[in-house]
Amino acid sequence: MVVLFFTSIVIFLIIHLIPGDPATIFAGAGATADQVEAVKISMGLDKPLATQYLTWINGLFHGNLGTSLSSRDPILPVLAEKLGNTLILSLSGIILAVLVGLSLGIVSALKHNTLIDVLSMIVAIIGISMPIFWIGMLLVIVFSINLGWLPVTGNDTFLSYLLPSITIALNSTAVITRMTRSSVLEVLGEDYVVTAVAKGLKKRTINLVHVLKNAMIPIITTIGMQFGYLMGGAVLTETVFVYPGLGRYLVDSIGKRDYPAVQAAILALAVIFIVINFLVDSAYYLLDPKLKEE
Amino acid sequence: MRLLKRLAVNKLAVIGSVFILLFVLCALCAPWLARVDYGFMDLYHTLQTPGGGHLMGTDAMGRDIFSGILYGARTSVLIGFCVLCLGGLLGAVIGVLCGFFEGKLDLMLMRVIDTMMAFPTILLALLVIAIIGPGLKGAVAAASIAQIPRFARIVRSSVLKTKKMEYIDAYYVLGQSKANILFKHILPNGIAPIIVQATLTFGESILIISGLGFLGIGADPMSAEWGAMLSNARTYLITAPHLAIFPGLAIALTVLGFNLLGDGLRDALDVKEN
Amino acid sequence: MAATDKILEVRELKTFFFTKKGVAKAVNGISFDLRQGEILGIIGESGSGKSVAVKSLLQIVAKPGKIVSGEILFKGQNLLKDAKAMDKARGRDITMIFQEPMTSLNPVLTIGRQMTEGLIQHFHASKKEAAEIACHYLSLVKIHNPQDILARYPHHLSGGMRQRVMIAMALSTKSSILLADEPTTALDVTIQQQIIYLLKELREQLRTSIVFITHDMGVINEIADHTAVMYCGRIQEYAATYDIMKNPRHPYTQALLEAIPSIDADQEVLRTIPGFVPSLLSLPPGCSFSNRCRYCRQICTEREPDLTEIVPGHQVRCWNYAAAGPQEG
Repeated sequence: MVVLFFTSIVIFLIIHLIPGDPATIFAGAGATADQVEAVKISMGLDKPLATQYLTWINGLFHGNLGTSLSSRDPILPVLAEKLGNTLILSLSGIILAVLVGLSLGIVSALKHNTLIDVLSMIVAIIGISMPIFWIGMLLVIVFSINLGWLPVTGNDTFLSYLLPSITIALNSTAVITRMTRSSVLEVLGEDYVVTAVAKGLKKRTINLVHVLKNAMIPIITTIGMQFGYLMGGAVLTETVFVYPGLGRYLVDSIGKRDYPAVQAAILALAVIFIVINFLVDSAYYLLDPKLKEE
Repeated sequence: MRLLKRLAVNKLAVIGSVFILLFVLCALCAPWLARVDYGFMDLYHTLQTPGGGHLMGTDAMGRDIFSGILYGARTSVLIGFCVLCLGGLLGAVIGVLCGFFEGKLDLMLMRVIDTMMAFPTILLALLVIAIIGPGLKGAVAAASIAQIPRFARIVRSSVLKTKKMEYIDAYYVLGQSKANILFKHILPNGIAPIIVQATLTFGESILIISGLGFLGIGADPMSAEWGAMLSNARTYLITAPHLAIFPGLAIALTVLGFNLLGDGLRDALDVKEN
Repeated sequence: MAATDKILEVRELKTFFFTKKGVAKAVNGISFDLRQGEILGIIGESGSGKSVAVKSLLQIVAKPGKIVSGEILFKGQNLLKDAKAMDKARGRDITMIFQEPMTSLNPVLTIGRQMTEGLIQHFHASKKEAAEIACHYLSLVKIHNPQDILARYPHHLSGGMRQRVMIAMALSTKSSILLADEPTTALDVTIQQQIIYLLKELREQLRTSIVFITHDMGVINEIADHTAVMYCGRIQEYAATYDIMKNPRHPYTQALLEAIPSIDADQEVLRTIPGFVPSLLSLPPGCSFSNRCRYCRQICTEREPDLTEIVPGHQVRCWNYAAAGPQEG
């Protein structure tokens, strides 16, 4: 709660650091000084900063995120829709990334130093080196243009979600694969695994229970972080696929100097990050008995 | 050096180094390798596929893509260095302050650093651009700021770890000043993870800068910057896919090179993640 | 089964490590018998192969180690040839405890879970039955509130307590053989004594045979009925512990005993064994102790001696056991 409050102050201040006068923009080109002044007063921009902040916060509690400077429409419904879109994209991305990343990482660790391990590590490192927007474009070239299987833009049909999800998932998959592999490898080298083997336990039991439970702890953090990255970093993917998501909305708003919109978008993202962080911390709590005490 | 030997054993690291060398070569020798200046627009030969005088074809304005790649390498090298110096130094300073003095300063700064790290780099960069304004300067600032937390963390943990070592107490008891101890003993021990991070940072900054260039808020879309070139390529994906392939490939291979080398260095220097 | 029945017979066991730098002959042909209810002590310095030897008995040697040849006869079956029998015996009839109690238990599982999973798997016991058995054995190792302990996690317990838990866990399957790989080395001296005493008691109560590994002559003296001295992967001397202590015939054993500082004697300089342990990658021809032995002769550097029984029950691998005659204890 404290973090949220603090964050909102920070966001508010940062937004007001952005150069450019919203009133001038709102009034439009060719407006006279008086008109700009009138707009300023109507927007409450003449009042001291603290008051403006409180007005904003008050508006938030009433579900009013303000009005967009460019479209003159209330921001909330638009933001909600874009947010929902990005959430769908990020969720499908992270699910894909976790499924593939975890399996590949575990297999690589268990078959350490074999061909499959080396190959997946090479693929993983390529995966984190390729720019996400390039991958998107390549996929479009191959699958949409050449093969004509999948649509390029939009988010109407199920198929249209496919390419963007894969694109956005690629980077995270690689990260999760690497993290999983190194975590599992580390656990495999621990003494208690030798004890479990000496007890004659079935290999599957050892791997699933003894090893994974320990290995998952750092992996969960990574997954959480990656989801956060996906939410915020979706902007590149959304641009390639012209996907109506939060990232593009944010970039466009910055470009248009639409301060209320920018403020609202960043606040939304901040809230999401805080929630994700909280969830990851809770997961940590549940997995590691040593933390439960504290 | 023993280090070079250990590194050479790792074949991937060697490949990475080769890529980096290529990258640096392109950057250095751009004026000689390029047949034409990137700025030259041959309006009679727009959107040409590779071949016949243009190794990688031309773009919508008749500019030679190959020279774009070469000059883009230059831009990237310069930017990479700037980011490394700015972000690395600032981050290191913060790290040293936190690690050395600890206490409330440490707590406060680390909270800020952690918050920064929780943000996706792109978002952070976007925010900085929003405040400073689009353009190369903004992009460099954004990328540098994004790297600060990483360096701060690494340097801080190095300092903390070495500080606790008993031989530091020994030096202190023997009368060496705190500053002396810091520079002579603590910092040299922490060099290894910093080098690894620096290598990885170079690659990351290229990704960020090109990402911003792609969005149109980084480098000048007309300049030789790989991200900007990719942005221009979008409109012609159907008619001229080669516009997208080459700059992206350049980014990918260069970043791959840095990542491979960074990983190899990490193994050779036996650096562990925090 | 008579009390002196052999429960384990090991013949010419060889375990090598196939590394990039060459083949390290960690266990280079050891043979011994273990009788029911007997405590066999294996003593040797680091690198002597004692740890690898017991791990080979359970066939849990990590790569690049591999058991190359030999026989391990348990209840008449050769465990090296019969994988099923080995799987059955591992963790049930032959169990093991390790050196580091702080890291040998899984930190994210409760003690109860770790103690009962073996019982549930090997005996198809129900959770309740397994918990009861676990409690029983926990009280045997002098843990006073077993029910409580089952619900706790390893980090709640001290090193000594964790080691007791490990012992209880290892014995709870009614195992005939307990392999103990330096179980007291990581504990402080008073706890060490408790654990040694405990093991001896348990041997009396349960008639379990124990193979106890250590590098500490004092511990061997306290716990082992018979002692095997290992050096460079071979058994150099084997006898009843009393005989080894009173009448060591192998120069290495003698040197080990001499190296123990005496609290009464007027010692100015600590006695050490000169020279270095040869690398397991390139053992010298002949006796592996030859480069450090005071009795070294020509033949010692040329041919490796066999294990000879100089007196019933006392075996030595040395050309000079006659010269290295009876020593003062």
